[in-house]
Amino acid sequence: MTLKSLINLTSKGVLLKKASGHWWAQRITAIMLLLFGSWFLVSLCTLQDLQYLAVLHWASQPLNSFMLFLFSLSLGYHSTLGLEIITEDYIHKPNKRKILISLIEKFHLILVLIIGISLLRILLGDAQ
Amino acid sequence: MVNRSRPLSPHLTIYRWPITMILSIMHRATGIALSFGFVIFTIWIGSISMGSSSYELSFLFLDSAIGQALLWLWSFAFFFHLCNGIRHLYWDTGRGFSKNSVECSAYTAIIFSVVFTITFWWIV
Repeated sequence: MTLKSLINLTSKGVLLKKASGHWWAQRITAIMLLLFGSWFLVSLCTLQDLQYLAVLHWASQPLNSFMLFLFSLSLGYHSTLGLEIITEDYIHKPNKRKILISLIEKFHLILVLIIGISLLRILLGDAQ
Repeated sequence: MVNRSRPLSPHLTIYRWPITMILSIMHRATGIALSFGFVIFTIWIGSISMGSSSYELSFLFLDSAIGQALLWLWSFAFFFHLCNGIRHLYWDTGRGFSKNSVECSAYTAIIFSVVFTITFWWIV
């Protein structure tokens, strides 16, 4: 990127908007994870032996299901942003970087989709 | 031709490692570890939805020596990333940047993450 095109992008606010959006998303998901992550670990403590029926019963409560989904959503988003930053720092070839970042995004999307479908199945009582 | 004898900027290996540098590296390392943990978390949630036999399989893995070691590591990574993350959020408000403050918060983050990890496994 030449200096001129950088200034052009900056003056149009494109670059700044993208960068500050990333910054805010990272902070917001961090605070969400602070809450949902702590909730998840406390819940694990209450599910002492992690026996199947107890875990299934816990995960099929609508509130727990909802919390698990929010936890996964913020975790997936935060993880994507973090791995993207690391990729941008250490992968210097633009093509390779682009491919890796898109793979990271797709991979996280798949994980969150799997969790969403699983939680729905548990909620609807399809798991046995 | 590039003149090879030109001086280079000092590389990481030159420095005596200050605590702040170690924590910065650990924040990234634990972040990457937790991303891998997210995959196991997904498999665990998926196995709940697929029935008791699948669940037993994922439970067997997590209950094995490797699984337990990974869970210990992940729990520490989680608490460390959480404590150091709070440190970062505090910095985002523009405070805590003096040399003293930065080192003090570093040791605080380490102590709290160790205490949280031990407490968690003591309860669970």
